[in-house]
Parts: sequence; structure tokens; C-alpha cells
Amino acid sequence: MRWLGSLLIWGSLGVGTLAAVTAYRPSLEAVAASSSPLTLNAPAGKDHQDPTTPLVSPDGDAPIVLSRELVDRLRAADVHRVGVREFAFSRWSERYWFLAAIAGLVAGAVLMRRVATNEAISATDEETKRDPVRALNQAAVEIDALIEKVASGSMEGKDQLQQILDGLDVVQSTHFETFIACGPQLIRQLGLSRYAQLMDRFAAAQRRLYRAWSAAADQNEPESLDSLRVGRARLYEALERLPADA
Amino acid sequence: MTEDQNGSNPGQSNPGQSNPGQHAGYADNRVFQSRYREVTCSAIIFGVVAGTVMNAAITYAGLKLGFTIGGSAIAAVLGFGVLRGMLGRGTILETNVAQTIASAVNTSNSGIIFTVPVLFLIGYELTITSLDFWFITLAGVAGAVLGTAFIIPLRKQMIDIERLRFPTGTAVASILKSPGAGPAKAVVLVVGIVVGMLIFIPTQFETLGWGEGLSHLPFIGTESKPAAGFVDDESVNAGKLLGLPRQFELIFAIAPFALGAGYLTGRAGLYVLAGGILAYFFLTPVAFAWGWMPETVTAEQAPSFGFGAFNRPLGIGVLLGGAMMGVVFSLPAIREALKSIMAAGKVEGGGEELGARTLAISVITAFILLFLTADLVGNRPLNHNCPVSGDPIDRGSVNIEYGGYMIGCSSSESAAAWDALEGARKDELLASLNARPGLLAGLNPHLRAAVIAVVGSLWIWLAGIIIAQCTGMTDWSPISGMALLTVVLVLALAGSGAVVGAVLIGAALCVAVTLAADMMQDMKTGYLVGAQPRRQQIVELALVGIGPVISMLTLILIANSNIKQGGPAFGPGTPTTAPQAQALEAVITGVQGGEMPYALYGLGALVGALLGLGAFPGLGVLVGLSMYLPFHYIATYGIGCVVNILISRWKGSDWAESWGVPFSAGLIVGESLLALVINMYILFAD
Repeated sequence: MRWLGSLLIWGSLGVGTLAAVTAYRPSLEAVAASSSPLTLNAPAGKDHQDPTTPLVSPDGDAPIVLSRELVDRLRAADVHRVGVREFAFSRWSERYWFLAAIAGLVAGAVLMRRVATNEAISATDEETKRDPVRALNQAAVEIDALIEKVASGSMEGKDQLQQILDGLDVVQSTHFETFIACGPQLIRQLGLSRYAQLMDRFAAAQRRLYRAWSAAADQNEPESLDSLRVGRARLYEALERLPADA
Repeated sequence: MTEDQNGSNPGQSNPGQSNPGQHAGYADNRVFQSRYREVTCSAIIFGVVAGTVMNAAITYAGLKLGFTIGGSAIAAVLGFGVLRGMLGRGTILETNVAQTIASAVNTSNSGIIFTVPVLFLIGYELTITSLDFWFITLAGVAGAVLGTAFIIPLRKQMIDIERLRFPTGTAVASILKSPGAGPAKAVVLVVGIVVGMLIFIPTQFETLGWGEGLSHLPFIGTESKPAAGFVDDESVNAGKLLGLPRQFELIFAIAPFALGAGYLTGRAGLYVLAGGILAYFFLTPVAFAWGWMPETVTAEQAPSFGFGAFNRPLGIGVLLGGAMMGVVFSLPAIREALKSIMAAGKVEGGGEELGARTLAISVITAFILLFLTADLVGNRPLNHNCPVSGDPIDRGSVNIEYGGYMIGCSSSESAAAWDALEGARKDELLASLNARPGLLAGLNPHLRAAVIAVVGSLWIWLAGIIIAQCTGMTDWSPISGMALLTVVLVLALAGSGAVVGAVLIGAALCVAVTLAADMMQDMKTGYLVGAQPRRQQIVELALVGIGPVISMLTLILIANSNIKQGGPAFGPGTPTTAPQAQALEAVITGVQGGEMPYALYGLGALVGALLGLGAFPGLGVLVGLSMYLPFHYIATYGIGCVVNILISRWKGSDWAESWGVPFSAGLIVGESLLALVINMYILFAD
């Protein structure tokens, strides 16, 4: 299904954009049949044999109106299409290709949405599901342990700061990454509004922990410890917004 | 709930306990006290000085070369050197504030140089004493404030909720965090910088006057046969090397920043590459092969013809449609982000986010400024000489409205004579000035200016979101495309003769969108180093108006210097050819001549919107962006994406992140830093 959806989208994109290229390049038959006068941009289509002698030479800046004589002359030179300044849907010979591509894009989008929904449902299978609640809980536990260790004053100042740097690196790169990767699953479960509320708190926590990291790197232990505590508090707020069965 | 609604004292907490209820009671502002250096005088002074120097140097180089470089990474490295190295006290967050200010002051240059020089190119006179100069400068300042204030409410949505990557912002954070990341990562960062410089410097040999350029180096080419045609001074033509037909443009830019940005973007960047392949390896060759191009276009010229004739307008349309669909899909998240900001404004002492009231005041002030400048510029006479007497128009002339334009007459008698003329004669005058009436021609002139200011402001808001999304996902910002659309929009509303007004709004928009993108990059950096968003937002909003003034003064200085040397102000025949402004000039003359392919923008927008309907709403933005950008940068960017994917598979994603990010950041910094040095060299050498 995914394969088919992708094929439909990319195929339709190719066909649609290719058809669009001809929007200002009608066939000479369409130009001849046009009731309103058209303005030539540049003759097109014959071949590329002699670029120094174009079929139509512009006279200064004056626009070249496609008169019947000029159309006949271009036809005689085996020109099939011309570039014009005016667009008309009825004159656009590839419009049906474009419309078909639009239908293809819609069908592809529907298919891809179905695939995404099915994948999200299958992701709820306990064996394959990433567990956002567990990831956040583990992060909170590790931060609690880190705060306890640092606040106990059992280590030298530099070691304490290194402990914060190392501990936060682990939390950010493991549990937080796991939680962030659960985004699509959480959006499906909570809806975008509730997901946004959850991420608002999670982001506040993560930013505080980044601040704790920066302060530790700057050898500012009090700021680092304070930020750790506030970050932990925000993390619990995020957990409160996360349903236990998420 | 905001972060400050609970009021317990952190000092009362027992750090050893992990009771959630108790932890939830911290008041963030109590912790964000001044004991940790963040916004300091040194950071502000350094930021303004560094930003001013970078702005002047990059304005000059941008007028010469046609592109500009971002200032964040350079400012971060310089900030470390000055604040931490020389003053010996800079913290990570202080350096972050310094780089935020420096890049805010610097960034507006691209908005000015892509638009304002077009006035010189089409024959307008602009001097430091002319009112138009100051109107445009004020419009730039208004744009800077609007762009910054409009994008601030979307920080939560783009960074906290959507978690966009913002490659440059990530790279700058990597630089800022290098002191704590351990010596090994700092070494990797430095190696990246050196490698970036080594890759980039050969492309600058000719600029620096070191020989005739990369393609003439003995091991690449010979004097008679430089590089056999497959290496020029800035790119490698792999298509030629592989013997591909000429209409297939497989060219790689020698651009370490694109490589680094591609790596930082990762897998999502492949969509960008796919869009480029669609444009340059499908649409262009097929259009050429099937005879849809003019007969005068050769195979070698096909890619550039295809770019101008259909890839660019279609790409801009796809980008626009994709971005609008992205906004529609993000509405619930945007609503939550706005609610959070509104709540922050109610907290005593302000929350972590700048409140809605401050933002509203900024937007209203900037809007009034934009309206006044649009009104004053838009309601001055279109003609330079009286249509009746032929006398020059001065301040004492009598202005009469016709067809949505002010027509100046030298005296009241001339005005009466003009009034008595037939409509056809009056239309002749408008036609001679390329001034067709716009959609708002029937409105009162002041109301027309107000409508244009409102539409301009709304468009700035939308374009700011588009640009921020693009930079968030890919690091590319399609500013010139937005400038093009703005000028077309204003000319459609005000009439094809309202060139100064269109450029004025165009300049405001370009400054606004560049700053919107820069703001979000800086906010991403701030997020990753733990900065308080409110502080970054305040310093950026307070100082952002400096940039357009510096850029405009530099621009006029260069124009005067060129004129003194006997040449035109800008363009061919001067050292500052202003390539982007030349492209905009072509757009203005295209609008005046009725040659704009409006339908292609519309068809592209429809396709872009539908692309966003699928499982990935950003697809339209990525595909449109790559159709619109020159392929050689996309190709190099694609290499970066592929390298990231391969390394992640080979060594694991942790390894790819830990070591690849500082190296990629180094590549970006290496090129930016060297480009700045070369820009300074050009500035002083000239």
C-alpha cells in the first residue's frame, strides 16, 4: 500500500508538473483556433539546428502578435508549439493530464494516510510499541538520582559537574530520544491539540535540562542544580499530561 | 499552563525527593536570576559591533557576488574568542545572546540588497538626502520588527512541538556547547572548520587574485584547456565528466556549508534532492527533447531556460501551496502555542515567552510605520515633468489623481488643462510610464495605502512562516522567490507604475522574512543550550532595527562611490553588479510588459497543497524549494544527506549524531568564517 501510494504521488507529481510546463505553450492548432489575439514569447518546437537565425525576429521591445500569416509561416517551418504570454484553460491541450495528476495526488494522499493510520494501529501492538510513558519515567528516575547524588555533596566540585554533564547526555540521547520518536504514535492517540500541550511541558523540561548542562559546562554548580530541579518538575508535569496507556 | 504559575520557592525543596507534586511547584523566574551570565553589556556591545561589521562587509560582497552568508556561526566563534578568550568570563548563554544580536544586526542585508538596488537599475535616483531613501530605510526597520514579532509566537509550534531541525541553529549550538562536550568533540569541530576552509578556499582563488582560478590549476587543467570544462571556479560538472547529454545538469557546487547543512538535515533532505531531480532531470530534458523550448535554446542552455521559464515559477507555486497546507495542518498546534503565550503574558513579571501584549504593540507600531511610508511614497507624482507644460515637477506642483496614480502638474493652470484632456490622452501618458492601473485604482489614495500595508503585513506573516519552515526543515530560505511574489503582488494592487512602493514593501518583506528565519535559528540554538526564550526575544526585538539602517547606508555609500567613478550606481560596468536585483528588475519589466506566468504559480500551488495532503505535510515545501533553487547546491546538499544516512546505518545513529554534528557544524563555520574574511579583504582592497 505504501509503495503504491508513493508511486501514485511521485508519478502524479511528474505528470502534473510536466503538463503544467505546457500551460503557456499551446499547439499552433490551438493558437489558430483562438478567438482572442495571442502574443508570442518565443517560437518553439522546430529543432535546434541554427540558433543564429530564429524564425521570428523581435522588433525592439514591441510584442509580437500571432497573426494568421505568422501562424502559417511557423506551420510551414514545422513548428508545433509556441510560447505565448496569455493562458487559457480551454487552449491548454495537456489540461486533462494535469487533472488526472491532481486526481492521482488526491488518491495517493488518501492511500498514504490510510497506511499511516494502519501503521500507527499496528504500532500499538505491545511487542513493537515504543513506550513513551516508560521513557519519560525512566528519565525522571535518572534525573532524581542525579540530583540526589550531586546534592549529597559526596564528590568534588569538578566531579559533580562532570557527573551532571555525563548524566544529562545519557538522558537526552536515550530516554528523551525514545520519547520524541513516539511523536506520530502520540499524535494519533491524543490528537494534535493534546499532543501540543504535552510537548509544551516536555520541551520546557528539556530546555531546563539543557540549561543545567550549559551551566555545568560553565562550572556554575548552583545554576546547574537549580535548573536540574526545575527541569525535573517540568518533566513530572509532562508525565501528568501523558495518559498511562499511551 | 505556563512555567510560572506555581509559586513555591526552589530553596524550600528537598532535592533528594522525587515527589511529582512537590517538583511541579517551582517558579522558573526565580531560577532565571542574573547569577548565571546571560544578557550582559559585553554580550550586547559585542553583538552590535560584530553584527555591524559583518553587515557592512556582507552587504558589499552580496552586491558583488549575488548571495550572502549567515552570521550566526561566525558570531558564535568570534563571541567565544572575545567574550571567553579575551574577556575571560563569557558563558555559553552569554555567547548565545551575543551571536543572537550579531546575526540579527547582520541578517537584514540580504533583504536590502536583493531589492533596493533595482531602483537604481531602472533609473531612479536615491541619495542619502532624498526622502525615498529614508522611507525605504524605515520600511526596512518596520519589516525587521514585523518579521521578528510575527514569528515569535510560532517558536513553540516549530521548535517545541514540531521539533524542526534548523540545521544552522543546531550547528551553532554545537559550537557553543563545545567547551562542555569534551576535548575530542572540540577537536572534531576544529577539524570540520579546517576541512570546510580547505574545500572552500580554491573557489576563491580568482577573487583573491591568486592566479586565474581553480579551473586553471595545473593538476586540474591547463592554460589552453582549463579543467577540460568539467571544473569551474565554484563547481564540478559531473554530468560532463560522465558524458551525459548537455541538457542534464549534474553539477555539484564546491560548498562545504551545503554539505554540512545536508548532513544535519539527514533523511528529510532526500525529498529536497528528489524535487531537484524532478526539475532538472525530468522536466527540463523532456521539455527540451519534445520541442517545448524555443528553437534558439541549445542543449547547454536548456537547464537555465527551464529554470526561468517553468521550474522557478512552478517551484515557487509548489512551495507556497505546500506551506499553506502545512499551516492548515498545524493550526491545532499553533492554537495551543498561542494559548500558551497568552497565558505567559498574564504571569506577573512575564513568563519564559514574550507576552502577547508586547508583540501586539510591536506589530502595531511596525504596521503604522509601514502604512506611513507606503502612503507617503505611493501618493507622490508618478511623472517627473508636467504632462502639459513639460516643466519639471517640484514640491509646489499640483497633484491630480488619475487611474490610481498621482499626476503632477507644474501649476494650477496646467492642472486644469490636464483635467480637460480626453481619457485616451491621459492613458497615453500612463502607458508611456509603463503604468497600468492596479486592482485598487478606484480607492481613495490613503485607503489604498492602508490596504497595501495590511496585505503587505499579512503577506509578511505568511512568508515568514514559509521561510521559517523551509529553514527549519532544510536550512534553505527562498528569499528571492518571496521578494518576487511581493513585488508582483504590490504591482498588481497598486498598478505597474508603483515601482518605488513595490520595492519598499518588497524590501520590508525581505528584511522581515530573513529575520524571521534568523530568529527561529537563534531560538533553536537557544533551546539547545537552555537559554530563556524571552531574553533572546527581547534583545532581538530591541536591536533588530539597526540592521536595515547599516545595510542602507552601506548601499548608498557604494552607489555614490560607483557614480563618482563615472559609472552607474549598480549593475553591469560596476564592481557591484547586484545580480539578485537584476533578476528582480527582469520581474518588474515582466509585470509591466504582461509577461508574468501567473498560471504556473497557481498550478504549482495546487500541486504543492495536494502534496501536503499525504502523510507528510511538509512534502510540498521540500519539493517546491528544490525546484526553485539552483541544482548544483541541491546536489551537494544531497551528498550531505546521503552521507548521514550511510553513517547512521554503518556506525549507528548515536555515533552519526555525536561526531557528525560537530564536524558538519565545522564545515558550515569554516566556509562562513573564510567567506567573511574574504569579504572584508574585498571591501578594503577595493
